[in-house]
Amino acid sequence: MTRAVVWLRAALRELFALFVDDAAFSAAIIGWVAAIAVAGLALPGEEGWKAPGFFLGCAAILVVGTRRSARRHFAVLRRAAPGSAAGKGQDGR
Amino acid sequence: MFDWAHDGTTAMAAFLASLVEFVEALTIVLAVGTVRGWRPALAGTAAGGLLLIGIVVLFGPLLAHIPIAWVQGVVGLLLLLFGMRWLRKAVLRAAGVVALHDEARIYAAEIDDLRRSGSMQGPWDAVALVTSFKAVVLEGLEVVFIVLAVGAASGRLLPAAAGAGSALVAVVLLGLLLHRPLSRVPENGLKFTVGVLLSAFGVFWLGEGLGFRWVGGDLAIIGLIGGFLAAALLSIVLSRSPVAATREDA
Repeated sequence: MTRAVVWLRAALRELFALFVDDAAFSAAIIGWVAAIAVAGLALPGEEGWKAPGFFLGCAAILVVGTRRSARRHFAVLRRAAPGSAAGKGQDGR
Repeated sequence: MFDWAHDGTTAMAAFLASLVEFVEALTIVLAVGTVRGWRPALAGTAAGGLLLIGIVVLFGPLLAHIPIAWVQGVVGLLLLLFGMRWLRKAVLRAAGVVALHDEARIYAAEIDDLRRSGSMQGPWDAVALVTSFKAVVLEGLEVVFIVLAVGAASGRLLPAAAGAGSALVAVVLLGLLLHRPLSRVPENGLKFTVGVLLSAFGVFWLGEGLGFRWVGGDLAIIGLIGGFLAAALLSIVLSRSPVAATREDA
């Protein structure tokens, strides 16, 4: 592989990483956008709920996604050190 | 006339986001300049800057030829992904789940790497040149995206560019004055604020692109900013909570 291809692949990877960090989190956002877009087309007369509903879904993804990441993190800490503060449900800081 | 609700939030989002990116680029360029010399560090920076200007000149005018609903849809989605990624990371850092970004530590590690990279071969120090070029291009690409995204979708490229330009001037002046990484910049607080702003812009424009009707028109952006702020603060509390850890086994 030439150096240019290696550099290009690295640049594309960096570009992708601008938008996607946690794949499940990004997939949830894209999934929600697709779902609300389809629902918007399927229910053309109902205008009032679409915009606030769209925001509420994104906010819920943020809350659930960060909580999920925190739980995973604390679970790894607990497995690594079962007797530690993290193992007893503290954040270990 | 300058409209604070729209131009002000656009300029502020571009300024704060660009400030974070320029501070990160400055750390690397300072490390390169200190260890390997200022000539390759500044040459790499200039080359990176020229590439970024080329990207703006190439893609900026193209956006004007795309229908606004498409721009709002595509840019809104990218902005939403980008903004919520920043917000997620800032929340996890604020909750103590992920370590805080430490410019002083990054600077020390970069200095160490550059010292171990061997001495200069040929008339140009390729390691130094590539390191500063890469830092400027990677961090600058985020600035270019933010300026084009927050500016193009609302037809406010000027306030967005002014915000980013002000951030560049501020960071360059501070860098010249201090000659060390700007480790006292509250990076996570800035990322948190920018994440809230960009997520709000993303939802608003994507909603517009999808044909949704916002109560209050453009002023709904203020409400969305408040909504994302509340959701992010709630996320910090829930991510910090011991319940987040103890429920894992349930």
